[in-house]
Amino acid sequence: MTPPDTWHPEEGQLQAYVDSRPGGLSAASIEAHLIACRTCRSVLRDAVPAPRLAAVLAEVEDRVDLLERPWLERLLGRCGVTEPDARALLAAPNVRLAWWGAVLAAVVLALLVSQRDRQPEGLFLLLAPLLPVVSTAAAYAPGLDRARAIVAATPYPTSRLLLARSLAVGGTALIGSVVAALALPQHDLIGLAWMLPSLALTLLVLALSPWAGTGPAAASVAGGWVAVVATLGRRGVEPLSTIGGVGQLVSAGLAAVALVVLTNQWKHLDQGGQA
Amino acid sequence: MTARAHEIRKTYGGTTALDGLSLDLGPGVTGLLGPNGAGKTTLLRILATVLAPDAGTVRVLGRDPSVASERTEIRRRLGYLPQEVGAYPGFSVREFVDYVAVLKEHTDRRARRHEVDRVLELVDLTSKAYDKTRTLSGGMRRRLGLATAFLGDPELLILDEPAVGLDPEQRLRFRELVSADPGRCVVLSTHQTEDVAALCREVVVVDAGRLLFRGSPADLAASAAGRVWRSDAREPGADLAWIAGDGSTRPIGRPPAGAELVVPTVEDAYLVLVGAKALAPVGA
Repeated sequence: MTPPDTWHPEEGQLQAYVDSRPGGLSAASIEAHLIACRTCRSVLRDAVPAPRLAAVLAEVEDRVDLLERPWLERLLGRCGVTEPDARALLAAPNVRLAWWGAVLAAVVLALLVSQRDRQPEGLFLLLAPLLPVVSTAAAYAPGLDRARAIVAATPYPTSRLLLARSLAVGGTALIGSVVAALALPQHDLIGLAWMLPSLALTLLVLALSPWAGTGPAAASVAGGWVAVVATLGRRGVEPLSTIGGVGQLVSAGLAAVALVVLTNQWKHLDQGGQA
Repeated sequence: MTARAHEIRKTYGGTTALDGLSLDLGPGVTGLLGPNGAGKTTLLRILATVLAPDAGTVRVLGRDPSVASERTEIRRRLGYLPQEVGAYPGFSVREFVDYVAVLKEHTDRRARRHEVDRVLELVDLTSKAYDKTRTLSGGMRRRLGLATAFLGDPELLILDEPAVGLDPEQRLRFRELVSADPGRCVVLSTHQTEDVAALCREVVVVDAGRLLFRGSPADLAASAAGRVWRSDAREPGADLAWIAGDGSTRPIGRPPAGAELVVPTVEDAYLVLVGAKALAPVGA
């Protein structure tokens, strides 16, 4: 469409627009005119060198590409997280699900603890360490990650994938449990002392995953924890004593062993570990 | 040699998947034939470096996949299509290929964009680039997996049943795609002997984790000479028999006196080698 009785920029003005792409009113009026005037667009097309046109198009594509990236990925990028790490972390739906699950579970835990009259510490102690265990397992279990078979053969290491997802989801669960601890009637040691057992249990799941698979490893470790806490409770051991001095020492030892095993298992995680 | 496996063994619990198998792979297309559970997928996963053998040695692209740094180097230079192509349902086709490209270290955004466009064009998925992966048919999903395998124009392509679900036109396109570069090493597993006959420089038959045959498709077909004949009815002495398209029966085994022997195909020879197990339904 070429409006017949209208102003047309001179060829020199069009060339200047192409060469320097100025801003301001002059550029705006040229651009507005170009939208409506096929004749001037054709003049312009001939005036723009092909490499220049390609560069402009690439710039436009870059901007569109940037806008298409999810806001969370852009945010992680601004925090210094590399693009592969951010993608590996955010792409899988099960990771997002596990993350939201961890947040929700922390809220539920806080509600349960705050509304319990009798031994809220016992309930908290039973459930809080399990939050990072379950959410980490859900974030990493390959059965829940549909694209795992393809991703496994890329240079991006599986061990890094495990670490990134564990930190993101397990960390969230940990923070959530800390917040839930505020719901306890007494903000004493129990609000912090569960953290080491929790860390030990999570590391244990990760260390067992290459042999047993993440799901069975998480189920076994969680079951073991529940059995230990329930047995001690039946014998009249106070919840705080369970994670007292001896409990902390046992947890630290367990965490250290699990960490050593896990470090040695990196190779298996990357090559056919059942995790 | 592009890839070499020597005396590799792999067991899952009490089941032996590979039982001391040795194999050398060079440039060109090698077809892997075998019944379900023969060990094909396990072998391909080991060559793709995603699974470690219990015993034996493997070299891929001149490197040792059991060493982490060398494994990463191998993965930079190979393309792998697993048996099950799982894609995130909320991703578009383009987003998913781009995601895999990021993990394959295509860090330059502009170059990556062009590479994603290129592989989508290769597998004829350009028109579906912005469709969600959950809307794809089985054949399209296979082509999506192929697109990710071709990212970076790899030196070694490992394809686990790549032609499953492809329509005849797409299968021809696939054959063209896979055989386009004669210098590239391609190893593919399949149940379709006609693909092997049409496409492969070499064919390898495995069963129960062992190598049964290795040679050209013509050599494989020739190995069944004198054992395939035509008959009007089922021969009780035949090892295997099925009704051909013309209504005649095609028995395999020791021919009775006066039998009309026919020139065996790759499929005939494969059946002679593997026997009745080969007739089990795919996926059984």
